[in-house]
Amino acid sequence: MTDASGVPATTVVVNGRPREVRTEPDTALLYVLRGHLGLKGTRFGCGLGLCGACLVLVDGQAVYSCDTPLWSVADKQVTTVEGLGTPGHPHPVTTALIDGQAAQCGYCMSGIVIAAAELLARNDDPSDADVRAALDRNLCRCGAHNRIVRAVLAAAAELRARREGAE
Amino acid sequence: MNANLPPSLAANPRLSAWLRVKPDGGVEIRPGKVELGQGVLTALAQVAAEELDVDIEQIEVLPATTGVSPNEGYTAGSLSIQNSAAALRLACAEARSRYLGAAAAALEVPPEKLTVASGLFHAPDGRRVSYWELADDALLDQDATGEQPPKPAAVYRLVGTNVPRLDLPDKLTGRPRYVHDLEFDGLCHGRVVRPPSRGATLDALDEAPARALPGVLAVVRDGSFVGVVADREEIAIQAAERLRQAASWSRRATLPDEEDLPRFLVSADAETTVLAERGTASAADGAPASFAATYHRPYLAHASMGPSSATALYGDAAPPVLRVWSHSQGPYLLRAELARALGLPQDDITVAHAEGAGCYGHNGADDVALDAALLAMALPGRPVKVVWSRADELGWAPFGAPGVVRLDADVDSVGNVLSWRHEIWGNGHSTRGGSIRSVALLGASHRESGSEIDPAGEPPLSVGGGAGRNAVPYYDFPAYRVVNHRLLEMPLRVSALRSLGAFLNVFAAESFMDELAAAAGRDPVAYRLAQLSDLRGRAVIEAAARRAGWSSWAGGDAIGHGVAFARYKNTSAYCAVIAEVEAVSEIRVRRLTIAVDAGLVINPDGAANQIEGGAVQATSWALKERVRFDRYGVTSDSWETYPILRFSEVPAVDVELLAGAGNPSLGVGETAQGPTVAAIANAVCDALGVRVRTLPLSPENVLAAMPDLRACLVYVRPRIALAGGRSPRITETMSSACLVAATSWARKIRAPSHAATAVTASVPASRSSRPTPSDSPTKSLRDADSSTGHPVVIISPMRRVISSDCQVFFPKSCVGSMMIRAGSTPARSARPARASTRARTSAMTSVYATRCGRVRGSSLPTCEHTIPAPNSAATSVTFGSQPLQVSLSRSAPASHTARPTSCRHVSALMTRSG
Repeated sequence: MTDASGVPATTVVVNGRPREVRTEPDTALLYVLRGHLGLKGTRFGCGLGLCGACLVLVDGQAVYSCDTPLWSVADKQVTTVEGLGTPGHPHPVTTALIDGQAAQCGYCMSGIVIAAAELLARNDDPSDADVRAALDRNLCRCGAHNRIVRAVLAAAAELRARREGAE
Repeated sequence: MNANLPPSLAANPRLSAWLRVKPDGGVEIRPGKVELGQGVLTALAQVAAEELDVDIEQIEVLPATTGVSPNEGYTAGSLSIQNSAAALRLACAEARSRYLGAAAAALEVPPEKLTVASGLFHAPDGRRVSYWELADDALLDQDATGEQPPKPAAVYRLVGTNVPRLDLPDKLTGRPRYVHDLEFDGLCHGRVVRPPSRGATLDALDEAPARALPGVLAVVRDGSFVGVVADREEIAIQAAERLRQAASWSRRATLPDEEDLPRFLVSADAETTVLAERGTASAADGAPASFAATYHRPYLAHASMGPSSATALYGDAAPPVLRVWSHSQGPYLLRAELARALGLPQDDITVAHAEGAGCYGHNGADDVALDAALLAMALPGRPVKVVWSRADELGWAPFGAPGVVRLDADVDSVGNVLSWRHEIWGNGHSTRGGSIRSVALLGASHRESGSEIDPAGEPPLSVGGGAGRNAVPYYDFPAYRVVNHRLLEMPLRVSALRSLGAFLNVFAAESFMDELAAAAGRDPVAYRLAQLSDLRGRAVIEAAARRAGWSSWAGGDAIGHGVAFARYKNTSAYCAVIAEVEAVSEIRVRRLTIAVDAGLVINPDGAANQIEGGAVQATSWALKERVRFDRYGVTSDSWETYPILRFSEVPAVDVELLAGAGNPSLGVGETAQGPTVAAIANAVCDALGVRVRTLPLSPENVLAAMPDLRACLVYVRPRIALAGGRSPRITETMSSACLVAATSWARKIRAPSHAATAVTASVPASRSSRPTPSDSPTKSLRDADSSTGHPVVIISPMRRVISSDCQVFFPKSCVGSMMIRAGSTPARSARPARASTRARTSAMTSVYATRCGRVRGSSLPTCEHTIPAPNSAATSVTFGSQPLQVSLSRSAPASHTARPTSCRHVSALMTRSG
């Protein structure tokens, strides 16, 4: 790493942990996550906010990390795919995708997990069309779309069941 | 070499090359095939676990590495299950038998008394010993004999079941797994600056601005190859951009006219070969009828979701060793190619496979390995990781080859084919390393010492063919002749894209079958079955037809269904597809019903996943995809200029896998591509009465196939600018075509109409009023909603629509006047709506400038345009947030001819003689 003297430090909260990063403040969040914080789950697809592979949640909203400068998330909660659930308690979307074998090469999936998690956080009973519209900004080249939609609907059902069980 | 062994095993007969029992537990298998996201490693693990009688959890799969794994060539051609599974099956069966002997000796029990399960050999008295307790590399240090029969399918416990993908949990939880994710001590990052266009050469380069960035470690320049390495990825990207700005190039126009591609393909220098012939296939005298038609497909991009990447480390000890981590489909072949390009002995290079994104064939994976190696050789001892940009992946990776196919057939009195001629014009389909004389790597062709990449050859049909793949008809035609004109020049590099020539050949042949069936007044399914005696082929067609309810299809306005069938390579998996399409305002595939016979299927869910994925991808190819270029270079280098199918556009897909019935396993990765596109084209014809023979089935190509005015296209391009007078970065978003006139579009008019036609379209103002998230200044201005293909007007606090371009296209045959009305919000803006004019010509249609202004007595601005000749008008209207209404009225009778609208495409209507 370059000698960081003169390069300001920015603190960003990622997956619940504050992390200090020394890089130019307009560095794209994607490279901060992958290169500086070692979080490889968020992916580079185009660098132009057109494919969704780099989506992360910032204060619960999905943004393109390839097109988001570090300074703009300095006081915000960043959640990456690694922060959605834990190995012991994975996010229902992740579980449903694995159960449904809803992927082929898998490269697009991190962004889809984030987009789906955002959808289910605001709409716990989406229709098939709702899910497709929410995922329209995610590109998948392998053709796993229908399996992914079924998995997201299954995850929604699981979340509703848990909510009802808890009531 | 034992000729009875499957090819991979015959080429790598030592058992220890394929598997190793580990003393600390488990069995490591070493296939030479690689994981592309198709699930092959899971399937191979199933095969190995089955034969060894171990649990799937006890199998570890080693990624293919040169010098360790067997050389199985390329993971391509849908041959992995056929070849690698066959090899592993026999090797593991033989390994089990050797370990059985060792267990028998250890337990002092005859081998036939032992049972094996979960890695344990059980004696009748309950004593047992495991593979790993017996682990002894000498046991497998023998050549395979092929004499140990594998398990019979009747007792399978794992093969034929849906074992979950071993690699998906990592990939779905974001754990490091891809070649992009590799970490090394001292890792640094490289980027390459590609030429601005094909045939461009570097004249001058000022390296100083790039070197001024902190952390830049090296700048490499060799001829027209330019690259930079930095210790941080973001610095490498910036440095590459500075190099790009500081480079000056000499450019040459080396590419054909993209609107005239078919004519280029049929007239370029070519080598002509008769690929196959049976009987006398020339036009027979006295045949009741003869038909001909010509079909065309454009260049297609692999468009991998993850751009290609590789890491290379050039050792700083003597002799220097180059280590490369790559998602290449063929590590050994890449090694050979790198050796040639770099002048290193092959033994001094190792290539280890790491998973990439789906490649669907020969994408940039091998090229980027050379990029990384060239940069690594400038920094011995430092691993250098290179990731291609999206523009490079879409613009510089090899493309799927375009082609023209002409079909001629003579038929008897009921329409059955008597003789069939299939003629192909286009490049060969593989410029992979090992298949051409020149070095096959992109960077090599840009270096000082480099040479252009050779055009592709044509492998024989006996090994599957390339451009000729699936050109030999599988039906029982008494006579046929297949001729290939292989281009000797290759303006844009092409190479293997999933299904190779089968995509065009099956599109053409199965469209033509439907055209012949229609001419004979016969049902397309029955027409095919009447000329196909192969039982397995018949079975998939009948299964798909039954499952899709073909014979009870009700149809409807602007709704159609279509069928297509092919046996991939005529020797691999059988596939029949039935497509349901609706064509109200755009072509929309509603459902695909697919039946496949692939023999013994290792993992049925994995196979279904591949089949569905291939069909969805083929749908995207069929409806949307076309590489764009000007005379200098490729212009479709982003997801905006090369759109692919999105979630809301994907059809429902229903896959039926027919029972294996003891037939050998056949790969399914490429079986659905050709039948899917043909079924869609046939369904479009059923829905609209229009036969489209040019891919993609875009609104323009559908329109060009219509002999008379049936519809027109309205493109609305929102232009977006920042409010407040700041100097905006105006991004012109993807134009969205909205096919107008549901009424006339739906009617299947076959006779030309002379009536005046009034056509109206309403374009919604906005798809949603969802506010955009808070934007950073670097966030580019674009409309996320327009990606769905619907015209959009964006309203947001940050942005304000300032103008909208509206272009209307007519078929060439239309003559008349047209009126465009645009709604506006008088209350919002004090200024009257302005309209500007624009003129542009395109090959398909001519765009006329309109004269627009206010019509007295109307509060709406209107534009009036007279079309003295074909065929469209454009207007630019400033408005706020109201719907844009376009009405077109033709006040003069249409005067048009029955000739096809496009004289530039090499096409011929169905001709009927006799």
